[in-house]
Amino acid sequence: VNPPAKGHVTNVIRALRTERGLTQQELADVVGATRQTIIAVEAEKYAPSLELAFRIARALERPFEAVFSFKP
Amino acid sequence: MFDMPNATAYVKQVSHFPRIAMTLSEKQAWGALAAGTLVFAYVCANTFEGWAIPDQSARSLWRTWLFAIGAAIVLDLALTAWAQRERARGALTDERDETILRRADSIGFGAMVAGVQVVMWQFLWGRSVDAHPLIPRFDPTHAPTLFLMLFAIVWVGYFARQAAVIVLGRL
Repeated sequence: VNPPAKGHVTNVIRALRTERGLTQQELADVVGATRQTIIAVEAEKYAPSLELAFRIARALERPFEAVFSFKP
Repeated sequence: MFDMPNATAYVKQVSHFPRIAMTLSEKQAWGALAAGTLVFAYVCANTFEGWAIPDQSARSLWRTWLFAIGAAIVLDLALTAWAQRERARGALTDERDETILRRADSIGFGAMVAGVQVVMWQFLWGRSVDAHPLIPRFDPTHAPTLFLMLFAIVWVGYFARQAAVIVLGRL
């Protein structure tokens, strides 16, 4: 059995954040992360931990799957 | 006409960069960078005389080595104790810290390996009669020179590691 190819986690955090009028720093403060982490997650350079991903979805008041998606 | 209040507001607007708070590991890396550089500066001050590296007794090299290692250990312990206290106080940490430290370790190790290669080239260039005179050559068979080169390798690896923590944390 061939192992699955490495997938990619995408997100729409930037769009949802600006829609709510939040800055990266404000979102970082709400979810207990640094602004650098939010920048990296938004740019899809870093896949957040499950806990942080749930925190971000909650802060943006959206269901998890509306914020993050997985492209296999 | 030149509108001064508007110009000031414009300059303020374009020169405003949102402040990025330093994480604990970044602060620790800055401290380690300063401590390591201090120790290496001490070794350089005890090895160089002007631009030359004069002969030294083994006793003098031992003294420099002991003091440098002792100072490095004391500074590292002080930095670790400070970091532990800050962590207990709830200092800012980055979720990516573990990944950043792993990559920084690898970069630091790479820099040390590169340093070892430079020492090897120095051995080879020292023995090759046709080496270009513009290629800088040290004499690794000279004890104080080799002593400084080995300390420099460790410092370069350490410096690269700490600099990587700072830079990767900002990316």
